[in-house]
Amino acid sequence: MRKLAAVFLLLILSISGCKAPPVPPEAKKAEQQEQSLWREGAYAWAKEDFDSYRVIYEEAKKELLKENVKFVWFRNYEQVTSAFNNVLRTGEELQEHVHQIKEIKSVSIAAQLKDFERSITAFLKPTLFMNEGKPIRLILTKAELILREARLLYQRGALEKAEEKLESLSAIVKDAEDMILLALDRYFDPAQVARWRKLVKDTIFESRNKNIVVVIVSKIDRKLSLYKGRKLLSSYEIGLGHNGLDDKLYAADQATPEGRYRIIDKLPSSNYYKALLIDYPNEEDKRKFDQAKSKGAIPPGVNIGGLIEIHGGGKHSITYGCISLDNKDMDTLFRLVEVGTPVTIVGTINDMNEILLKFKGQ
Amino acid sequence: MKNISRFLVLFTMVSLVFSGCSKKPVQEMNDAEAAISAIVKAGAEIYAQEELIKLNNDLAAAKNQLDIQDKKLIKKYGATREMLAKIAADASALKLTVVTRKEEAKNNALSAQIEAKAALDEAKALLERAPIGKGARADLEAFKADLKALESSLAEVQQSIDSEDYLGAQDRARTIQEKASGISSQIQQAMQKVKSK
Repeated sequence: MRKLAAVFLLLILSISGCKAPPVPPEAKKAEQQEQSLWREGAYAWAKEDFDSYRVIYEEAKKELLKENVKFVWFRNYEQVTSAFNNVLRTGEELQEHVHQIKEIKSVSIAAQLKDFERSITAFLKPTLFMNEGKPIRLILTKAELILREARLLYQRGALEKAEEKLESLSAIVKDAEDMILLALDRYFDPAQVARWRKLVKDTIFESRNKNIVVVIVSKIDRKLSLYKGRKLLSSYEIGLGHNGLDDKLYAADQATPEGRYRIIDKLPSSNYYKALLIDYPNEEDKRKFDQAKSKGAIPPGVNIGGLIEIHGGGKHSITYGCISLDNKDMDTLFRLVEVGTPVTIVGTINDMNEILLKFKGQ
Repeated sequence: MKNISRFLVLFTMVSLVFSGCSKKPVQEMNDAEAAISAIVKAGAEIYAQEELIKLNNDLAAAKNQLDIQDKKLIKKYGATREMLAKIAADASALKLTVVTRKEEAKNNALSAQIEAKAALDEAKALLERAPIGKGARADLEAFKADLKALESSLAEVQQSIDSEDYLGAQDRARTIQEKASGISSQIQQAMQKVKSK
């Protein structure tokens, strides 16, 4: 009978040994904490610390399992509880650390988003005034899309992915900036600027000596001004050629010529409202053309071109090299000038030009 | 003799109870691991990240338990077996969720792509109708460049869809749509200006 009781007891104990062991509350809390740390991306933001945390967490879990597989009356959770409390403390510190890192990262990304937005907006502005800006706009529009995507990721809290996007953006914005600088290269050359200033100075001098009206065109300022002596009579906004910031060298280069010219014909009616024909190419233009041709810088069979006019059609027009004004301004100008009026076209004479100031020294 | 028979019967019963718990759950472990691999392959890392983390944690716990039992003289794998069976079942159930979420993301990306294309087409049509007058207007030329950039980005949306990056495709398509709509408004404003002159 005693033997039967012993075997029965053994059987009960065996069955009870297969039951799921009870879990101390700290273990459950640690499990929730670990998942929360995962959710917050601790594995990425503080990898080393998270790995260390995982080691002590796994150790604690092993301790728990060791206790759970013991016979009920041999179980002692004191050490297990202490191990899990250690896990919870370490986890809390890690959580705080991750929050700090994420906060710093978040602030940095927010600042970068603002910086890029400012840069792209600033670069887009000159591309509207520079007819050469079309390929630059292509790049900048792509940059804008990437910036918007980075902002979406940032708003969703996907800081790492947002950062990746911003990293790719740096190179694109740099490309756009380089292209703008290349287009403005001549405008930062002091010798070139000095030549332009001299052309303007000589024109004003002629105006004063002969007491005549002269026309000065500053290409980057998009301005045509009428002077009599040193007195500015009036100014008009203008449109230029597709490659208007370049100096015209040959036919169909769509650049607007630079130099000293004269009005050689007044056309009350032309394809583009009223027009004033200037004497491009002058001797200097011919010399530059021949020089470029001998260096092979001009495509074969291409001539120097001509028929450069100041005409109506609108200040927002993009021309083949001519200078265009709004029709009402053309009416005024047409009245104030005559055949023989000097027309001097330069890149810039304005040190305070917004575009040049923005990119100067970069 | 009677006592010996009783003892043998009881010994057999106890042995059966122990043997029921002592067979190592190799197949169950393989099944659980295969089930998790299958959901990872299905895209759980993107579409069910949290659930995947939980399953991996459960698997790690089951492995720990297995290690402990392996070192024991009297091995009891019952609890481990139950854990592994639950992991495999949870993973199978999650696969359906992953597939559903992925399909949903794909549909959202495709809708966003259609909307982006519509916005782009509208902007292009507006630009074509814009009264440019003489030659070309600088701002309209600028919009042309912008739209060209959007067009090439729209092709990238398709690439993202083809590579199953549906969330990325959706973001890109939405940004294209926003930008194209912005350009449409600007073209309309430009046209309005021309009309009012």
